[in-house]
Amino acid sequence: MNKCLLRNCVHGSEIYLSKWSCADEVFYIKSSSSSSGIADLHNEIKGYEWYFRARNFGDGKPIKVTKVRADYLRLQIKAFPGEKLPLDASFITYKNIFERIIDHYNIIWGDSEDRPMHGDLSLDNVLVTPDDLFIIDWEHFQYCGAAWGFDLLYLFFETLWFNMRGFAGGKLENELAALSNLFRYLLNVTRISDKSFFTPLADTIAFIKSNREFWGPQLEFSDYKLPVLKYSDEEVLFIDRVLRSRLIND
Amino acid sequence: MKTMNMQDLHQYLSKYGYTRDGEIYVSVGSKGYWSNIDRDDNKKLISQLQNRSAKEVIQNNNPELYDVIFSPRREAGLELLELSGDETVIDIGCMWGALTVPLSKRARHVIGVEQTRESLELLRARLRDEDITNVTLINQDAKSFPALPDHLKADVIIVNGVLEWLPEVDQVELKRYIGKRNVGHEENLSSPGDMQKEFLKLVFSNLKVGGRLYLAIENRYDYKMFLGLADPHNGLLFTTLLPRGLANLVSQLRLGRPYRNWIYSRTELEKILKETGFPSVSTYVAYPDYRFPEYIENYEGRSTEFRPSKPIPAKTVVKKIKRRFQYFFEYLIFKFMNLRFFFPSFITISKK
Repeated sequence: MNKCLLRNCVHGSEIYLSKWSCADEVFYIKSSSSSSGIADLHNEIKGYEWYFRARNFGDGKPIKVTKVRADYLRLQIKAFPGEKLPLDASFITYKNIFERIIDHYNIIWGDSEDRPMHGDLSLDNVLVTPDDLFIIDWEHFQYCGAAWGFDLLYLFFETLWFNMRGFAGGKLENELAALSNLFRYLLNVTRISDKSFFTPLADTIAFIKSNREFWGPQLEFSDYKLPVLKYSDEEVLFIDRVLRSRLIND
Repeated sequence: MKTMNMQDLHQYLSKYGYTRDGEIYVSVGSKGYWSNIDRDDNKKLISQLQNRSAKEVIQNNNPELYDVIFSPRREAGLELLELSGDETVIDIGCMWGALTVPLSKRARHVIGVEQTRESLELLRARLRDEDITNVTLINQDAKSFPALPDHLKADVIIVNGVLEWLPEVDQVELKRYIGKRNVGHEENLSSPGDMQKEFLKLVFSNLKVGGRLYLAIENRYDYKMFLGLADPHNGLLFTTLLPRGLANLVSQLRLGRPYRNWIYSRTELEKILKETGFPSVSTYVAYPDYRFPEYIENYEGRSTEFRPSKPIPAKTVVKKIKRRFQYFFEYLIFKFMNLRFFFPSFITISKK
C-alpha cells in the first residue's frame, strides 16, 4: 500500500488529506481530531450524499466512515477519475469546459428549493473527463439559502482572480469578454436570475462576508481560503461595470 | 494477546517502586532533564498552571513554542498508523504531549514516558484542560524503561524525535546546549550507536507480536546539510555527513565534547531496525520535516504529488533570492529527479 500525506491542515482547516493506493485501488483518507475539522467532515458526508443522489448514482457510496469517535473522525473517499484545470485557466482556451461545468451545475442543482451550497467550488475541486465531470471536496456543504448559481459565480470569479495575477494590459479585457460570454450562456441555459448580474462580483463577496460562519475558522485564519475576498474595491467596481455593460450591450 | 488492562499496568507500576503523584507515576531516581525551556523558567511556568490553562501559560510565557506543543499539524504522521481505537500506545519521550494528546483520541489508552518532570506537569495540565482520561504518565528516562511482562506489552510504540538524543547526557537545556562549548559531557558512555540499538531492542521487547514501532528522525543526508545547514541537535556544520570518527573530532574541537546525536540514512536506519529484530520496516520520507510535515510518502514512491513549500515573503533581497533558490532546487531534486535520498526526514513503521 502506497500512502501519501497530501495536505496537512491547509488554510487553517484541521483536516489531514492522504492518498492511499495499491495495485488496482485508489482512495483518499480525510481525518480530523478537532471539533471544527470533524464538523467539516460531517458536512463532507452530507455533501457527497446529496451530490450522488442528485446524480442518480443509486446505492453507490462514494464515502465510507472508517473510524468515528466523539473526538476523531476518519473518512475513506473513492477516487474519481478526471483531471483538474489550472487555477488560472483561460476562459478563452477552456470555454467548452466552462460551459460543461455550467451544464453540470444546472443538472445537479436543477430546481432544488433547498438551495444547497458547495462553498468552495473552484477549479481545484472539479475533475474533468472527456465524458463527465465530478465535483469533489464538500467540506463546506450547507443548506444555507445561497442564491441559485452562487457556487458557479464563485468559481468564475476565483478563476478570474488567478488569471489576473499573471496578466497585464489588454489580456484582462479579452478574458472579461470571454467571461461575459459564459455569463450569457449561463443566463440562456439555466434558471439563474438576471438580477445576479447587476453587480455579480460585489454580491458574491457580500454573501461570503455576511456568512463567514459557513466557512468556519478557516476564513479567520486566512482570506486566501477564498481568494475572491482579496479583490480590491477598485477591481470589484471595474469588473462588475465591464461585465454588466457587456451583458447589456451585446 | 489481549489488550493491556490499565489496572494491571497501575498495579505493576506500584509494585515495582513507582511513586504516584496523581496522574504521574515517578520511577525511582528519575532526574533527567531535556527541554527547550531552562529549568528556572520552567519552574515559573509550572507554578502558573494551577490557575491557568496550559495554552494560556505557554502563550504568555513562551509563545514561540505554542505551535510546537499545540498545533494540529504535528499529528499528521499518525495517520500512517490507521489506528483502530483498540490499541494501547506507549509514547516514549512524550514531552509536552504533541503526539500523546492526539493519540489519546485515536487509541484506547496512551502511556506517555518522559524524563523531564516539568514537561509532564504541563502535559498533565493539558489533559485536565481537555478532559482526557485515557492517558497514564510515567516520569522516567527512556533508556531505563523496564521490559514489560507479556500482558502489558503495547500495540504501538512511538519514538518521535528521540533516538538521536538518547546517547547524550541526561541534562540538556537546549538553549545552553546547541552550539555551546563544554556542555553535556559525561565520561564512559557507550558508543551512541550501541546505546540506540540497546534502546530499540528494549522497544522491540515491549511490543506485542504484530505490534508496530513508529519512529521519526532527521535524515543524515538531508540536502540542506550539504548546503551548510547546521545540525539542529548541536549547531555544527557538515558533521552528519562525515564518518563518525571525524565528526567526533570536529565536535571535540568546536564544542569540547564528543559527537553523540547520531542520525542515519534510510539504509542505515532500516539496517539497525532489522538488526534489532523487526522483520518488516516501511520507510516514509517527510517534508519539510517530520515535526510539521506537509508531505509524507513511501520512500519507494514517485513524488507525483510532491510540491515544495512556496517561498515565505522575505524583507531583504538576499533572503528572497535564497528562498526562491530553495524552492526551485527542491522542485528539481524531489519532484523532477525524485532523489529521495536527500529528503529532510524519515518516518519508519516497523512491525514485530
